[in-house]
Amino acid sequence: MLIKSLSMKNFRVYEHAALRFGEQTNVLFGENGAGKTTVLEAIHCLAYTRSFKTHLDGELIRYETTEAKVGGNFSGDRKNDQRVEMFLSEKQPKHIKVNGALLSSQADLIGRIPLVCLAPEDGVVTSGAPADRRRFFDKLFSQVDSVYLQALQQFNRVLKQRNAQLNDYAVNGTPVNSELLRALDTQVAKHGAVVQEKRAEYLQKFKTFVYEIYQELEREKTFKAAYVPSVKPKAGETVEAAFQRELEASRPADMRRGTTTTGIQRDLFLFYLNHQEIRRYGSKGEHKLALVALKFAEGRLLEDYLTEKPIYLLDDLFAELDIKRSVQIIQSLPEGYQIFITSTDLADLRQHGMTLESEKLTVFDTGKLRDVAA
Amino acid sequence: MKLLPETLDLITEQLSRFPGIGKKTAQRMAFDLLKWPADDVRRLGDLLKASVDKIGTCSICGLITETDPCPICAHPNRDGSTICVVEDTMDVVAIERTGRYRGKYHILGGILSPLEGVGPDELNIDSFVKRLDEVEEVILALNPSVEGETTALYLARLLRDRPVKMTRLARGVPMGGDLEYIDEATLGRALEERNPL
Ligand SMILES: Nc1ncnc2c1ncn2[C@@H]1O[C@H](COP(=O)(O)OP(=O)(O)OP(=O)(O)O)[C@@H](O)[C@H]1O
Ligand SMILES: [Mg+2]
Ligand SMILES: [Zn+2]
Repeated sequence: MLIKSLSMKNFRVYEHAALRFGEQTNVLFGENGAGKTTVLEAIHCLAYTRSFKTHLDGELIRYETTEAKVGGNFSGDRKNDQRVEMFLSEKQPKHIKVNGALLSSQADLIGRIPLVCLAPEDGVVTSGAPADRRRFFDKLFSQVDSVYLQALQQFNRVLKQRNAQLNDYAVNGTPVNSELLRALDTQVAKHGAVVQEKRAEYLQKFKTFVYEIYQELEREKTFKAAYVPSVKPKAGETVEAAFQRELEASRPADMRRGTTTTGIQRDLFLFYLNHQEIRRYGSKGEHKLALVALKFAEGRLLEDYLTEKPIYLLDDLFAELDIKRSVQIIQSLPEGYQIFITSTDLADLRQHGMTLESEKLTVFDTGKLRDVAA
Repeated sequence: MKLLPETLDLITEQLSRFPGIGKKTAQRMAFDLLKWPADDVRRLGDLLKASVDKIGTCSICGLITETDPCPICAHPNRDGSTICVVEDTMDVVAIERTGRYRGKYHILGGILSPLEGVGPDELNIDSFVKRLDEVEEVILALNPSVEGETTALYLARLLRDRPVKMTRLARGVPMGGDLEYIDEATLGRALEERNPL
């Protein structure tokens, strides 16, 4: 997938801007506040209907204006060309158009434009709480498998229902209707088992990708990803049956605590560097390198299932990394993909081993992009 | 000094109770009402009054009705051995429009949702169980949502020791739908629940 051109109107710092991108590496350079990240945010919005920096769409609308618009022309390796537009307004809900037709549900955009985004905000994937890692994988697996997305949504809904009942008991002493609880358990188990089985399946593949990619970046160390589900099937037991069994066993504890203590909402994804958990022991640079490997692996998985090359948005890619590792990353950048890199200083990029005089490279002086009419 | 008549405020307040109607819209509706011919407003008032005096729910099936039992329960040609369970009266209207169903109904008056404080006691479930003695088949026609599924599973558990056949609406590919554009989950279910030709 390629984004050929982008237009922005009243999008953050841009009053009007129109850009044509190169098919390979695109470098956006400019001083702090020039508007580099904003360009990446705009592209991200067209793939995911929202920015990676904020979930408050209002923040994306330029100060003192009330409406913003972003549009992009994409061309697929397999799919036909498509034009995606996003309209933001303070007065009405956001809407998205694909080839001029309004999308009835924003979820319809998921999986349409494979895109991998690495931003400073993603640091939580390796350093944050277990929920941050679940979010990373849920987003990824949902893009390659709509059944996963649906099972996850239904699980979350029925879990909320179950917890509401448990909480009503724990807090208000309202008696629990055990038949109703069983009806809820049946569904928690059914949807939860789908998610758990698919997590195991996709992680198996992801694990190999990320191991190989990390090896390429850093030969002396090994990176391992592991999936530790909360529900543990016994020999010969299906995941769904194990779920049922564990829900039943934990019922008294769940009632006391007013919440469900077993299930995919408690699953762990763990990352190890040389057998030590990165979250606990990793240095800043080790976290960053691990994140880079995770993001490239994300791209591999997306491409594998969507049979479409992802676009890479790499914001502040070299922050926290030493020269040796930056050089290694530049050498390992996936070939033949459209990549966006931001930098405050071109000299810096050169120093990191990037050849800027190449027909494979398109360089944008970001500060000069403003007020270029479409 | 109070600018607007109190009655207008009171009407606005009542109208804004409708789902999706905010204070502003309610006020506009109230003002509009004042412009209607007096007789029309009176007629609306009479109708609203009649809705409380005359309309109630069927003591057998829970349908909204002016007669008790309702026309469906009272109908001599409706097959009493089949009961179709639905969430509310609107669903009955939809099924009746198909002209394909000759059995009777039971209206639950909602759907199980602990989140919204709706448990089995809040629904017409006791009256449903009481009707089951002469029933051979129960059709669950509940929305394909998590809550619809919970309600169906709950009823199935309740009826598990009774000799009634339980069925549910088939879920699958809509008429006029293009297979290519149907989401995988729906298509998958349609495959699982495929019918012999
Ligand atoms: N809604 C908005 N309206 C106008 N300007 C905004 C809005 N939101 C952010 N800005 C400004 O836009 C400018 C560009 O931000 P951006 O994050 O794109 O900069 P950057 O080039 O990535 O900088 P850095 O090198 O510091 O990461 C900043 O000065 C920011 O304060
Ligand atoms: Mg930036
Ligand atoms: Zn009736």
